[in-house]
Amino acid sequence: MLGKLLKYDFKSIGRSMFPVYLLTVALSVILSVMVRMRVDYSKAFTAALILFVSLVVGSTIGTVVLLNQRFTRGLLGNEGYLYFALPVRTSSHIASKLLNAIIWGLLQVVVVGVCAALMGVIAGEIGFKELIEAVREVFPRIDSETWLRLFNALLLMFLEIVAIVCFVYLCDSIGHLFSSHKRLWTVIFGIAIIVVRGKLTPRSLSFSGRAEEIWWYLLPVIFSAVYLGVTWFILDRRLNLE
Amino acid sequence: MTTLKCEGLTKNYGPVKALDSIDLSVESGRIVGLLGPNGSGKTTLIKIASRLLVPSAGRIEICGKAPSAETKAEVAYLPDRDYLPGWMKVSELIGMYADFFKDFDRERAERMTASLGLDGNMLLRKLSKGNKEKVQLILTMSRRAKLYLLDEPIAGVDPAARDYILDTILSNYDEEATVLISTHLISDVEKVLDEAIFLKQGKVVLHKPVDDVRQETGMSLDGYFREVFRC
Repeated sequence: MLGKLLKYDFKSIGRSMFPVYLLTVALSVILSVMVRMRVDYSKAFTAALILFVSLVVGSTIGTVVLLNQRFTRGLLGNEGYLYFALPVRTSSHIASKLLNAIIWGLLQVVVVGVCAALMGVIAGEIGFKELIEAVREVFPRIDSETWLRLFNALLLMFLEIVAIVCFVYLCDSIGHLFSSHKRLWTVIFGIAIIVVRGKLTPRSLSFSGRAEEIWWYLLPVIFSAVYLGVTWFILDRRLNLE
Repeated sequence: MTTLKCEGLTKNYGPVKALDSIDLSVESGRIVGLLGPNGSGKTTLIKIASRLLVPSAGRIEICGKAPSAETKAEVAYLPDRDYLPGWMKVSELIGMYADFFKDFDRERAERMTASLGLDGNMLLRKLSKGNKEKVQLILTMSRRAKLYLLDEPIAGVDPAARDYILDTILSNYDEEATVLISTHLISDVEKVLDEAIFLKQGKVVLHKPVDDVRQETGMSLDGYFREVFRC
């Protein structure tokens, strides 16, 4: 059932985001071609550049907003009457929303990466061969410790983003418990949770990307688990669709 | 077989008792009217049976089991509002129900949709209010469920649509299933009901076969309802 839920959650976001992603990629190609051909339409170029940056920033913000809406509308709004009537466990609903957020977050990174690569290749007049050769040349110079640090930093970033998504879902769920001013309560509890997390996080920790600094990795995992546990309790035992 | 059973079922919203220690038993193969004025607890009872709400006290069983993901596979629930995603096409919604409910009869749903002249490729948000409600009803009644929970299925639609909705319910429910219809439009549903449950301020004040009510009171169900709930 999780796969089926994921399918419909993915479609729901995709209908809005795929056209934006396509437009972003298309604009990055157009901009790059303009640079390569030394087109001196400064006004047109500036406009296209502003549009491209807006699209990248906008699609990132849009993805975050849509993912949040998917949770609030899909589970806590009118669509909750459909989704909670399906023969699916509450944990599957939450897992589907979280996986969907992770997938779309990664897709957003991929799209920005593709745009950057296209602009490099087209505008920088770098051939794919040269690009691959450059990568081949640079990569062996990076020592194993730097690779490990890079991997650890990316892993930590991923874990923190997951924790943020879980945090947002928890705040939405708490806000839903109130009969009025739901958004205000969502924000108030969000701030309260941030303060509590700050108090619980050891101040002596400093991140250098070494794997032995295990608390850096454990903390977001522990907080994510707590956020998800409380979200599950609210949705499973205190659900109150109006 | 008992399809729906409640024992001391209570639901509090803060100091307000939406359901006050309800005892109820509904057998299979019956069409039951859950009748009462606004705020009497009809929707709360249906939501608890659908496991959209958790009771404050007491027990509820669907076919002998506490409401869970398992019982949701046996309950066809029609909420009292627009609950389907407007961005989906009618055909996609049919596909979605077929994906999640093993008892969903896709052919029946497509036949009913076609008989209404609805285009499967139409987005739900582009349909009129009446047609949206019909799509919701089609999806619900195309299941071979053991318990149908229909919350205000005829509220807010014109008399012709009401007839269509009631005909759809009558001609599509499984005769071994139980249909629980919540409404305050008694005169429209009276002809299809086997039993009536009157809810007043969260309490069951009557649960009888409709024929018995008529015989004992000498009134129609609608007339008796008006007398019981007179302001």
